[in-house]
Amino acid sequence: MFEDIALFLEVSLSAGSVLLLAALGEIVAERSGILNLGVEGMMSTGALAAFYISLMTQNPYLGIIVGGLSGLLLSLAHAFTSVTLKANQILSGLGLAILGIGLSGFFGKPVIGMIAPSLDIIAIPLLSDIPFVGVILFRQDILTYFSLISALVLGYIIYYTKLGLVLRTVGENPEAADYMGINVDLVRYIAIMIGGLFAGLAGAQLSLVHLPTWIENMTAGRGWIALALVIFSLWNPMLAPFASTFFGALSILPYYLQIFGFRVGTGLLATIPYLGTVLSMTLISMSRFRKYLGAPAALARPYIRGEKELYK
Amino acid sequence: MKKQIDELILALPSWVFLPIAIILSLIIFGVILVVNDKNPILVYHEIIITGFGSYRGLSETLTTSIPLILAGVGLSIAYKANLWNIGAEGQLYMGAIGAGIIAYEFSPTPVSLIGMFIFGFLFGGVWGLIPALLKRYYEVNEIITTLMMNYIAIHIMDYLVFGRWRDPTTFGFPFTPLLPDNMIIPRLLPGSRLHATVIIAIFASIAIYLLMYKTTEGYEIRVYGGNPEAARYSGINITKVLLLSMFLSGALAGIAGVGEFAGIHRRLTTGFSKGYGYTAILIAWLGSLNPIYVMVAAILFSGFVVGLDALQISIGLPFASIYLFEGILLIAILIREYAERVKARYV
Repeated sequence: MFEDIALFLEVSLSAGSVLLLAALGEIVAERSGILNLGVEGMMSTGALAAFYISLMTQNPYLGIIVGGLSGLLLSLAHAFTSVTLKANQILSGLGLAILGIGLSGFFGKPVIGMIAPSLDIIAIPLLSDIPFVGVILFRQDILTYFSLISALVLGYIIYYTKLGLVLRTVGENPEAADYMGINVDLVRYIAIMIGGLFAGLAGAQLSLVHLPTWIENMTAGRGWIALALVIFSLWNPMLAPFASTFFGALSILPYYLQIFGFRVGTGLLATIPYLGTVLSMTLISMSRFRKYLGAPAALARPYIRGEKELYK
Repeated sequence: MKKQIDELILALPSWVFLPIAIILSLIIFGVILVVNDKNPILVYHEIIITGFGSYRGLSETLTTSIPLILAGVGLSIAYKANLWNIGAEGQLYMGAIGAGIIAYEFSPTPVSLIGMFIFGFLFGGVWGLIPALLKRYYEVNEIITTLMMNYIAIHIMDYLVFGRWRDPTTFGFPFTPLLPDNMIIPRLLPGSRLHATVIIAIFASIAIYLLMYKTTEGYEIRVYGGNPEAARYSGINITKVLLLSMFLSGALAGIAGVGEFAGIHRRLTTGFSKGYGYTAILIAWLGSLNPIYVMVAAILFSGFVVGLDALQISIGLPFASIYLFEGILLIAILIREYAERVKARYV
């Protein structure tokens, strides 16, 4: 029983790690005041690029790098429209999502169903021997480790460094940041690119760890769940791993319930992660602490020097 | 550089920016085709010939446009109210499920088909209403909730198609039984799938146009969308605006779902909508959120889809080509918004 729980949590952490990577990137972008709804598209492109490179070079680690970079490259489209053109971020993000799904489907057609080398599970010596905790935390793939470390590092940067202060100022009050001599547009560009990089890495983890093959639409809505995860973790990278593991657990729960002999139709159980997102968002919004935990004040609002806000 | 571009924008009339965006998208898509060893001129020529150049193609284009018109016009109401309904896909599924309840849970009557439309309208509407209620009373962001509810609706459909409503005679395929004749939406033209829902779609476009531009409710929706604070202070009933616009938005997508179910497939299957709810977002903006233009945009875009669909088979274009083009176009139409802002700055 104890081992079953450990195994369940181990898989939850790993399944949630895809969401975690994507959510961490989106947290950085949103902290700068940019809403990027294109996570699903950048993830999809990252998944294909990583898989393709891994297939061609037989080196999945090269796949990780290219997967991340492809997400970054795609995010530049959103950066251009939302920062340079100051256009509507919701439409631009949606466009990016559809574009990324289209790009990966278009260029991925020749490699559908092929099998590429996948990432190995790296058991960390000694640490992985710790009962329970060791099994859960220290028997994962390299991208899961990376996601957990990133959560800590990004949390530290955002809350305890000057760089983080700059990022938060741009997201909360771009006018003030501008007066302070901060280049608002540059900060936002970089934040969007970090978001793209992480979304690409999330895609890479999907096609190199969870399902080492390429099928169309393999992201299956995870990019959208990652957006919900950002809200669920209150824009705090250090809370994101807990939220992502919870979501990961929800996503694998249907399979486990079936293994343990619960006769429930898969259809309705598959709604749990989505239902959970709606419910948890409602609970967070109802909470009395909402105004202390809320979104960056300038989220989704373009900053144009000398012009008052155009969007509410 | 930026100064020259702004000056050029000022010199051009407002209406040119949408055509510029469309042409730009066609060029970018063309470059991708070239990279993929396809001749873009040939591809575009084929698309126009197939989508618009024959009786068969044109009727297929109109058939495809039905769900896009309905869902697109619905979305244009929500977007005018500045409510980001991304959930037309789920609302469309719920409409079909609502119709399915009449078809599969009740014994058939002569008015079953009418009942299917009413249930589809209500189910789609309620699916749009839930995010509106959450937004009104708990300030929950509607972008994420409408999106999540897409997946919930799709999984409910899977559950029904694989379980409760599955046709026992299909040897395990996830289909529901074919509808009896009196529950099928009549087709209008010989040798074509064009069904009577097209009349509802045209009627709906005109009705919503009148609602939005000729009634107090429509005026209130537009004022709220333009400036929620001003709407609040001028005494507009915010609750009414939010609930009405999201209900109608979802209800029209629900009707689209009934049309696809009882007009095209005549049974329910998994993945029975080809992402119409997402394409409708693009359609709503292509049509500048004006229901009449949305209808025109839906028909033109459908022709492109039908043409591209045919090319998939003949020259092996991947199915995802349409998403690729859609994404490019959606980003490109933001040029218009940029141009409008540049113009506004100097007026």
